Amino acid sequence: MAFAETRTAGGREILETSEPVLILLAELVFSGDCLGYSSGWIRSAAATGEHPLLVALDDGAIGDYIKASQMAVVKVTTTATNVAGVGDIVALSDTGDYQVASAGLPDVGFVASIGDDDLSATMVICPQVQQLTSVRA
Amino acid sequence: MAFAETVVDREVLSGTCPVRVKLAERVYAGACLAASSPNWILSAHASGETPLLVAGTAGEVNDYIKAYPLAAIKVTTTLANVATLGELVSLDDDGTFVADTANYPDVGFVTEVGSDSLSAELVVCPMIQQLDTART
Repeated sequence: MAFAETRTAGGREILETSEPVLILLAELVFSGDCLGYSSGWIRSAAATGEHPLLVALDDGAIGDYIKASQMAVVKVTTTATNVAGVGDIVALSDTGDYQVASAGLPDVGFVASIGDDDLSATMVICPQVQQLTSVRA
Repeated sequence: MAFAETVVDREVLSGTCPVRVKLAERVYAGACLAASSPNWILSAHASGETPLLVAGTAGEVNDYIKAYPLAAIKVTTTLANVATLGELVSLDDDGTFVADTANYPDVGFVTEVGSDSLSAELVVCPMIQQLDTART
């Protein structure tokens, strides 16, 4: 089966980040979530208004300020049947989980390496990339 | 003539978000890397060699090296192939940097040209044009 993250709350690990920004949350998020903006910063999921732009570097609840970054290296858990492939383009599912690229889901990064036991994947995540698409006409 | 890297003698000036990767072939510092799962190779002509990372150091087969999704790189040019500030940079079929060219992937742009016009500094982020699907 194709790459899919086995999501567990708090189960992601942030290995590297670009310069962080401080943001105010409008809902509960976990470290490693892709964040979108819809009347406040929220976990980016299905709604079209929740375009992924940042990566959460901390867990946080509504009303919390947390650090987030434009680019991060994130380690996630997989299973042997959903192991990632190095170089796989990573998309964000409608539930906010990471999975292999798929039509209709936003590309947010790629897989840089997989664990020796095939039970983890290290990804470069930069969700803003595919949102910045207009050129000067 | 348009910008072209005439000698592969690159210096990686800085990089963001380093990752540790294993090589499946020899690469030089500053090379754009493509996956050849489970390892990484020099991104060149083959359609499967999509550029995603920049090698932080040189390395041999089976070496682990540090690589960056975003890096600043200094390259060598000649007076006849001097770069221009702001110019977009593509990746040639041999892995060298050239001026923006049809059918070559855009990987970055020129930020500085040496006072002697024999070098250029580039910002390279090859993954950008690979992440092209939006949520619908």
